[in-house]
Amino acid sequence: MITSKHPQRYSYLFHASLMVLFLTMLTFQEISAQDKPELPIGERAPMLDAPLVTTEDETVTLREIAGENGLLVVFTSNTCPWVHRWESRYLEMASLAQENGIPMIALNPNEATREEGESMADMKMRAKEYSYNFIYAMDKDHVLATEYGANRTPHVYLFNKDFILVYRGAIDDNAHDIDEVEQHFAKDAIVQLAAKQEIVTKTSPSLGCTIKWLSE
Amino acid sequence: MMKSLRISSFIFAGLLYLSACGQANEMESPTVSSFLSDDELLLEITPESITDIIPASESAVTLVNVWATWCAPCIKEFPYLVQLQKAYPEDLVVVFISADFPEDKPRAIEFLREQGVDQPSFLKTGKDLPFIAAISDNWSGSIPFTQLYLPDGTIVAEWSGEADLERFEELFLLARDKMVSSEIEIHAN
Repeated sequence: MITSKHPQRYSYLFHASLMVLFLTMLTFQEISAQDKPELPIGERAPMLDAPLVTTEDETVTLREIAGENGLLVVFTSNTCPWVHRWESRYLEMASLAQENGIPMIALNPNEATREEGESMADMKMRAKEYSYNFIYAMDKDHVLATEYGANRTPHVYLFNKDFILVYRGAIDDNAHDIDEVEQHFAKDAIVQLAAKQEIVTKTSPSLGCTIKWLSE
Repeated sequence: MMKSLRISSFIFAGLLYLSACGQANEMESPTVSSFLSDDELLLEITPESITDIIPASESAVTLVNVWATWCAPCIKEFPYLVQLQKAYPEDLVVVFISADFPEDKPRAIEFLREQGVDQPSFLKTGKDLPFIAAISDNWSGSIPFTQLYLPDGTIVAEWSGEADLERFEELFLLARDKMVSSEIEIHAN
């Protein structure tokens, strides 16, 4: 049996921790979560005219920024390790999409952790540090993430020129090692969309961080 | 009305606190586990071998929790699951599966020891997509992710996102009851 040199002190600490735990439970009984399903393939993008403030201090809407062949929306985070793994591929994906008439916008929906690395100031810093070549905007109160049924970061949504969803899911099949990627889901979908071909893989799962929802 | 609700809440909190204190005295203090070696505490698992470990019992409910050290909501809910396991040792088997990157294995082991986990848990290896598919067809991949299995392998609840101790216990008890009555319905979301 493991014993402590200062059992009484640890006992006080343990009891104090328990009290804090239960008071915290009282305050945050329920954490809001995504209860909408992911937007189905074939559905039209909601909230096309919602104003979105970017890291360039501009206000844009999805309708305004869409290109001749569509729009690429990525729900993302400054702090999610899974985003960090894929982040270098954001730039490549955005360039490919832009070349194909499909601008990319990354949206940060992590409203509950704005003060923990997800503020606009943090977003600006991230965009600058990693030379983002796409629009990066705040999804205030995660209204778009909620409506789109987004549930993780990164989470990719690709729309055609009529704002119909044609691909939803992961960037590729290997966050850990770019050299081991076998399926380039998002890039393939972008190329197929621009070529007016049928999207071969329309959805894909991926490991990622949960979106940090506001408490109910 | 609000005032009376607040008073009730504080009484409830106090009762919960006293109840936990009593329970804590009966249980071992949450200290560092030292009985298992690192390799025994965190076993590497492939997508192909997940079905070998789930369900983990022929007589108890299995709760599978996919977590990672970098995942804040996972870390927040983790102690509740350790507590639940210790409160229901006969009726529940909690299976922790870490989705940490391989280089973070030492960090995951350190966390497990801090939490007082004293049974083998697992570290995902291999590619993500086969892993997700092996866990559940209904899982998008966001963590934390939790499932409740009956001994026959039936999944009776699964959800992404954080839960508190009360919610975990409520769903586990429903699953335990469902072992003897199939008419019980469980809604995790």
